[in-house]
Amino acid sequence: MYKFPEGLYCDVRIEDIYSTAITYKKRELQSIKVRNNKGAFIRVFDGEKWYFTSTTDLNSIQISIDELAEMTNPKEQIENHPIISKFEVHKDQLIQYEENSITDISVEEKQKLILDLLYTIDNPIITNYQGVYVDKKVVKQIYTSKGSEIKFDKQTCGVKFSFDLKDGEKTDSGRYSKAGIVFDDLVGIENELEIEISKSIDFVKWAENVEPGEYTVLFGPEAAGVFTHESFGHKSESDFMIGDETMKKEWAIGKTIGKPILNIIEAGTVLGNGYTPYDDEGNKGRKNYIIKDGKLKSRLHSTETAAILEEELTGNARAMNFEYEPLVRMTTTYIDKGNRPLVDIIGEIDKGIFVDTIKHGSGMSTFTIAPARSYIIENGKITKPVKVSVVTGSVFEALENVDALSEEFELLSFVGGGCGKMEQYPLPVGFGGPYTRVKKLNVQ
Amino acid sequence: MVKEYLTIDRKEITIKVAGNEVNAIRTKNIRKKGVRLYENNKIGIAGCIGDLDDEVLVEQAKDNLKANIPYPYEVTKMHKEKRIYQSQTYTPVELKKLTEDILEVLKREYNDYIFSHMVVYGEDVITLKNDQGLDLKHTDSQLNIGFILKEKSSANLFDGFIGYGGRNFDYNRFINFNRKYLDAYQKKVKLPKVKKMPVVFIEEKSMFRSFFSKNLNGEIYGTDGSIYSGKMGEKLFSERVNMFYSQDPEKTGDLFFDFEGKVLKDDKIQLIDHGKLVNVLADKKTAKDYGLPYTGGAMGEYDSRPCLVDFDVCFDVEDGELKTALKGQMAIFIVISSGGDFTPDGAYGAPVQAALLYDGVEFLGKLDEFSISSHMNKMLGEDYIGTFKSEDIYMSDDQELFVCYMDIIRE
Repeated sequence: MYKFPEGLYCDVRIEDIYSTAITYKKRELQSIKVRNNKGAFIRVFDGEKWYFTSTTDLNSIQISIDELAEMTNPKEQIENHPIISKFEVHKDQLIQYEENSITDISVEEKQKLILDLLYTIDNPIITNYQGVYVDKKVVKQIYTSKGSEIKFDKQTCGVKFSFDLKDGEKTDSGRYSKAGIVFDDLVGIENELEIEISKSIDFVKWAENVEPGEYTVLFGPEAAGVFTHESFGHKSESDFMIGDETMKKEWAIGKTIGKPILNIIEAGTVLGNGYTPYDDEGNKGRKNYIIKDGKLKSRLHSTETAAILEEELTGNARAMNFEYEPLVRMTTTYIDKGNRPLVDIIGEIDKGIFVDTIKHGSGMSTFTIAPARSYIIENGKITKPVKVSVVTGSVFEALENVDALSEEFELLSFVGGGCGKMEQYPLPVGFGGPYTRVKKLNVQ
Repeated sequence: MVKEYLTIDRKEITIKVAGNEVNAIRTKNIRKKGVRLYENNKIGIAGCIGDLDDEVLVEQAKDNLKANIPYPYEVTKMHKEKRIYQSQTYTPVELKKLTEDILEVLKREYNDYIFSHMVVYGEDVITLKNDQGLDLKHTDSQLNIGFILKEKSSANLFDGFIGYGGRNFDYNRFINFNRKYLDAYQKKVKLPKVKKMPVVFIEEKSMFRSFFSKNLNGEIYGTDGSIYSGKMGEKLFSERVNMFYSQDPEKTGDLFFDFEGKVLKDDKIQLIDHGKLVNVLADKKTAKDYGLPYTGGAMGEYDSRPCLVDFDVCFDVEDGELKTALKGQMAIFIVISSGGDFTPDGAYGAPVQAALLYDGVEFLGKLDEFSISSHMNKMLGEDYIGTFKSEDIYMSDDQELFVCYMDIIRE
């Protein structure tokens, strides 16, 4: 298909993106956006440096390859370079959404779905609200100078509601979202939306400021997912480790990170936001244990990091869209389910905080979770709602302090938003887990 | 039928750095277009990435008109203005050389650290025009240097950050400032044993963004969802606080107009005047629906209906110097404080991952991690020290420092 220059490695990733966004404020239509965009990202490697460009003119991809090649220093036998020899070669077509395609659902049907749900929002404490329907279907093609020819598709859809609440002088905001793969996943969710609104109303009425201090914290699946992502997920991205002997020693494979109950999985095979059957370098997505029985089992890799660190490929090279190069990114990251009933785990907590939903999180040496809704746990029961600005902990210690995991378990995708790394935000990722109890976290 | 055209052209060169070396060069030249049609109080929009013919987009926008999206607001008309903020320019070869020159100094003089991330040079041309006499054009170019720094002996993902963003990069000034900054990084000092200290922010905008984007959003204010709803004209903060929304590209690094074509008088709208609430942000819809003054602030993507989005606030700058205002006290200079937030009623808490001890002019050394907390009423009330220009700090062309007292919570 393309003439790849001698002495260089080259790959071309073409993306054909269909997406819909329908926005209502209260019950008034604000916008309907249906996009059909195509673009390509081209990479060339000469054994020393990478050269990238992107284009929306698919007829000029060969010109882009040739222009990048002019900047390089080609090498003989480039195919023997350790990074190049690591790339997998696949010839595959994995098209799963020709039936059940969101492109076959009319805009009118999508509008009706969101508008019918908006009509269920009716409470004087809710002063303003907004509903959004979104969907996205991407068909990717990857061609490499080693011979890969891959074509696959991925599809997601979702609805998201945000609302402002006011009870006397007290204000708050709430949200509810439901993510799916096919349109039918979003049908019949009125009850879930009503439950979420009712919890938000209860919260704005009764929540008081938390007394700051160190607490045992119980994370619900949403919060546990973000906790896992921020406290450990980013540390397992190997590009942070290249050329860094201290990090390599600190995070050596086999090191004990947590108790034996702890298993953290990173899986591009899970349908949803993080679904990555092939990563953006054409390497197969897979299920990876990054922590098994409390010990560090593997890291997340691109081809380059796997070659440099002499470890196995994991299928984690992802780019936000065709304007960007792949980086080592997460797919779906979660603590594996435990074997204890939630009621027992709560029953053991004399004084703690339950974090139900979150606003955002971050992870560096300290990880942070900014709760949206949280509650006090007293004498083994969840009692009063409480306002918390941030929960923090050391990324080095937090996983050691995970001491209970529930058999109740959920995997989730956010609707809108995603993971940020460097300039590439937001990248859709999956997350979730069991109810997760962590000792000794700081709550402000 | 009124036709309106938005075009966003972005050319970009990115030099990527990993482990103290340039390892990749990326070029980008992307055009995004949007067409809006206004007819019978309705709006229809279509857009593309790439260079699709305008007439094709007009036909798609006509299709979108059939969705009957209401837009009973007057289209901005009869305003022609072009502004050029383009100053320094770079080719890929020049940008690579600049990056390598900076890395050469950093590697040689600070070899206990690993520097990574990127240097980006971008050129933007954005036009918004319609057949009612609106013709706005913004031309700009900016350099952004961002290096994550990591101590070789540390097991953290990263330990700090050095950077610059602006239009008139001064290499010698950048090197000299960062020598002082990194020299301080190498000296560990202890946090003074006090409960409260002056805290200096160079990036206070990101801290305040979520709070004020909600509470000074005209729609949320008008529907009673803001904690400031009904308090227009009331004194909320210290008399010394003058806070405004800016569309001055020299201050914001952004456009001089919003996506409804609003150009502000003096490129600003006052929000807090001597502590009193005097305005909230209101686009055309918000202004009409809630009887508020039309202030602009409507943005979005190339094919979005413009609406109020998250925004940054700016503060009037004090006449005096920070060192004088500190009156001999030590301050904390925040390098990285990531992940904190406000509760709905304004209580604030955040970890500080990297900070320096600072006397208002000189850095004295690097502090261990700790947390900060306060409340908005205090940060802009009794604890507000001021916003100061700084000639000594060189992270942007026109550096300002926001300073207030905060409670210090040791780990």
